[in-house]
Amino acid sequence: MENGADAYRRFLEGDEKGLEEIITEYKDGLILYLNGYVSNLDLAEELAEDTFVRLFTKKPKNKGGASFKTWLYTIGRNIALDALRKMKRRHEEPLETHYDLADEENLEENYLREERKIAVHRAMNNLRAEYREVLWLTYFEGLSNKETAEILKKKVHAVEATLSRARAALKKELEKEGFIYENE
Amino acid sequence: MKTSEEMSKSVMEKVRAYEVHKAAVRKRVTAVSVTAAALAVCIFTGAAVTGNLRLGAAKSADNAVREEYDIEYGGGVDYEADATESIEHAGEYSASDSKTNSKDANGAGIGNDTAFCSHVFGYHAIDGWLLDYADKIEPESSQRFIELFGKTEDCNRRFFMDYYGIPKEKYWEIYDKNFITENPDCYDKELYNPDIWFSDDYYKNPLFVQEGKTAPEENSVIIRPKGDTIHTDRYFTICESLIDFVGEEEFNEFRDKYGGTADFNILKFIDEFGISKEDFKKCTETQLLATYGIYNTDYVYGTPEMQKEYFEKHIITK
Repeated sequence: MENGADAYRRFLEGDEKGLEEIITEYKDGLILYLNGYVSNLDLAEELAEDTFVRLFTKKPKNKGGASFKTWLYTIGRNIALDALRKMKRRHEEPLETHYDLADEENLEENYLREERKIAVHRAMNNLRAEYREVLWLTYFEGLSNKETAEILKKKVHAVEATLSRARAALKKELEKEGFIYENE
Repeated sequence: MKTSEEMSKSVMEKVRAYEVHKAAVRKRVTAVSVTAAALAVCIFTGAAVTGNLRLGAAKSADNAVREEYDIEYGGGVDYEADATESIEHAGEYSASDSKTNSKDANGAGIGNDTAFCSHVFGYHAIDGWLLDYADKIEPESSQRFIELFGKTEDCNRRFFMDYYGIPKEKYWEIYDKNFITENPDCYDKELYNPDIWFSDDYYKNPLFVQEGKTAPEENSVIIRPKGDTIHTDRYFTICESLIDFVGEEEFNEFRDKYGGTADFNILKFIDEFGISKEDFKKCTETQLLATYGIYNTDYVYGTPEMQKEYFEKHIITK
């Protein structure tokens, strides 16, 4: 059993340490993933916290067979989309970036570690949201196309097609920055 | 940015606050159920109708809460894990209903009566007058309306009137204006104002929008061909999530090819892109669409007769 699933099971059995372990393990990745949707690190952090709160209050069971991470990201994504819809209705702008950029850099360094990955992540900011999300899930989180499709509620072939277009767009961005893009 | 420790602490505080709230709601449920039952008895004199509607309400609340779980947790959730949850949600909603609609006693909420619904109880209340009207057109017609739309956003008076082809001019032939005016304690005059119901953006009227929630945004593409008076808007609606599913470019091609013609409809769309019932269900079960309740897949993927039943308005025949 993966760490997250085991920690969650322990939380359901009354062990509060399980909650702490899940947050420690998944917090940074989830914030960066949600930031891809809302382009605001503070908001992404709030949404990540909301995701954990939903998980620990409603205590749903993951019966779909997906990995804990896939499942957690699905919940987070739905929360982020919901927040964006609410903002749209209130005519709020989610794209304001008043947060401290150093926070994002620290987060990138903590979570992504490798310089190459950080460069790719930054180049991704110039891509369309749908490209960012597939690249994040497959490249940074190492999820399979099937798992990515589960999170995005798309068919696998639709994910593959988007991924292919996303890679091409990323390649252009990286080349602009003077990087040499290596195909898989 | 919060550290993991700080976030854990903050999350734990919220979890504890939720547990306290949950315990408080549990206490409230019994009182709310009694109020709701009393309200239903006041509304309907026909016991059979009351029974059916009450059943519809309970079922729709439960289903909608299940949908909410699916939406929030991406499916695969053990709905039975916390059976009290649905009762609590229904209870919370009923409590807010009675607060926001104390005057609108003439109606049974057979619609989207759950905590996440954007509209107030009165919006979804199909009252005895309307049900009676439907049954005069065809026996048990009202029950069929409930089966089709009972748990959807379409379960509202305007949609009901559109469905049965009731024009604004006929409104006061169905409702007893004097009776409504003479009983202001039971009937909120505003909620019975046909000008409000027959406005284009009636669903956005602040009167109907539930406290603390905004009116649903429009996120569907409707291209109704000129002259079509037979079909519902739903028939000509392609939702955003379905467009996402097939791809925007592909959708644009579809729109360019069929837009403005009778072929720009959901059945043609499904056929054109070979969308399975399962995929269609997944696409239309997102939060917003669940709130709208745009499609009932049993009918969309049913026999041609069922599709006709679902997508065609019932024009007045008497």
